[in-house]
Amino acid sequence: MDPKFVRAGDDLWLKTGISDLHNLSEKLKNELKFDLLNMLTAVDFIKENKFEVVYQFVRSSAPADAVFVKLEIPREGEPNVPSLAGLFSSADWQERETFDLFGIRFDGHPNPTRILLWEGYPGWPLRKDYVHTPDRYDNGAEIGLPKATPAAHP
Amino acid sequence: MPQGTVNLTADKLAGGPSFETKMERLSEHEMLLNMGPQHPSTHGVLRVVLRLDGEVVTQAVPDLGYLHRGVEKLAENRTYPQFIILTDRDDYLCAMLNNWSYCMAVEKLMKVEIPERADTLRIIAGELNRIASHLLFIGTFGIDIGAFTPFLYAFGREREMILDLFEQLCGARITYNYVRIGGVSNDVPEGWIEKAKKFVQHMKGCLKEYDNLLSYNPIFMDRTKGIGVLSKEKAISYGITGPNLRASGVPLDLRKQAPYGLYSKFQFDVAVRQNGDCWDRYMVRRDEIEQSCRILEQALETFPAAGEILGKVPRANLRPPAGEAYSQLEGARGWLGVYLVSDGGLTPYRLHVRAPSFINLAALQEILVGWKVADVVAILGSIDIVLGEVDR
Repeated sequence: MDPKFVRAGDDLWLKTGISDLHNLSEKLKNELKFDLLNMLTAVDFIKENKFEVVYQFVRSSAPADAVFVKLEIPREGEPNVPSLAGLFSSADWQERETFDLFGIRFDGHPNPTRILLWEGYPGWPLRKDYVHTPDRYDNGAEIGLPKATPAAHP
Repeated sequence: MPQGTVNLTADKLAGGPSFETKMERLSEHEMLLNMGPQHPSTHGVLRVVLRLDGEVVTQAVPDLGYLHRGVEKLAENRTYPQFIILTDRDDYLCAMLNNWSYCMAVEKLMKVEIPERADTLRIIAGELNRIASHLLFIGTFGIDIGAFTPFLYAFGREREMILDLFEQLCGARITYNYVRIGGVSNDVPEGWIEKAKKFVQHMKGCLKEYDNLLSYNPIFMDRTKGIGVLSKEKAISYGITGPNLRASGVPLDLRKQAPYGLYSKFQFDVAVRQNGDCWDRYMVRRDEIEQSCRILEQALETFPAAGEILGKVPRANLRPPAGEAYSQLEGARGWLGVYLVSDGGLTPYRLHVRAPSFINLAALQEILVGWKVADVVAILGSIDIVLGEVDR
């Protein structure tokens, strides 16, 4: 296990790989007393063709101590990350949310279902290549609204 | 159908394919009870499917998303200042703190200095909003248990005074859009500080009234004391923060242990209770109103007579440098965090809200198990969720 330490401002960022994630979080929790998995989310870097899954661990005895852990995974196929739900209960819903909006699967999650959207929702809305399927709520012309033109991200 | 077993999954109960959580087969003496999404005690549109063995809850499955508006996706199509009004709609009971937590993340990215006057105004507005939010909790929690009167005092009288103060300060009563990137939008009107001071004095007297009406009411205590216990270890594992965590005996408060803004300047105590039951979760919020009053007294006393209310931030074409920032503050319901990724453009590349209600609600499936169906409403009420923030 050789995580790379990156320091950005006051925060401590760690980069790790899929195979190390579980060991690293176990170590953070049990040895280093970062016992609170505070935040878990993902970012879609479509130009670099990767997802970044971001975790923030906090010491419940001193919340000013925080470690951010970053995991890079390729975008192709079915992106897969080991689940931390067995170590931290707070990962349960946050991983489901990330799965729901990004389509990143969490291996070993006890209940890997969508949470905010319904089963059968087309696509993963927070991915940058998500295309919205027009539905009956889109036709604003009927009530005199101008046609919406979403700003393309530069 | 085989004798004695009914294969009832939650989605069958709903009559739709949306809810995939499979519950195990029900035995003869068990039943499923659907609560919500339209239910007066869920404080919004939350659905909980309860599996009951007689009167005892053996499994609880929350179903959320009814209020999902895709705020994080909307952020990617809005400029940085434009997004502030959407943060109001997350947790609409303490919108000031939502504004603040988002602006804090942008400011961290841009490394903006906030003028002292603006920072003090943020604390005053934030603490007033925290009180307003806790007052609404006291009122609605009373109603959940069956006490209607305290609602008329907490919600109809004191909270109304705070909303009036906000109306004078920024023109809005619920969705303020008050905290701006680099400062706040409006300066205080004449005489406002005096009015706020008067309110704080009034508020301190009211707590005694609430104690007589609700806190130490024997019926209320019977319904809440020892009910829905959440242990320290479970609370930390679930990532629960804010008053719910402090009720379980963990004195964790970002204002104290990781101070932001000017909080390190003020004297106050962290309200803690030890048992982690519904009554403690109520009492922590009641105590927090007291502490917020203390902070307000000092902030109003030391409020700078003159000075800027907005730091040096470009008025148009705000482009934070490429990079990422995570900042969080102590919201009324827990740690309110914003994770922001910028690519140097006009709109955020990615914005994630760490919503305390969402994370606190996850523990519901664990707390409810083993309690009677009559306690479900009390336990759900004591967690104090806002569905606008749960679903975002």
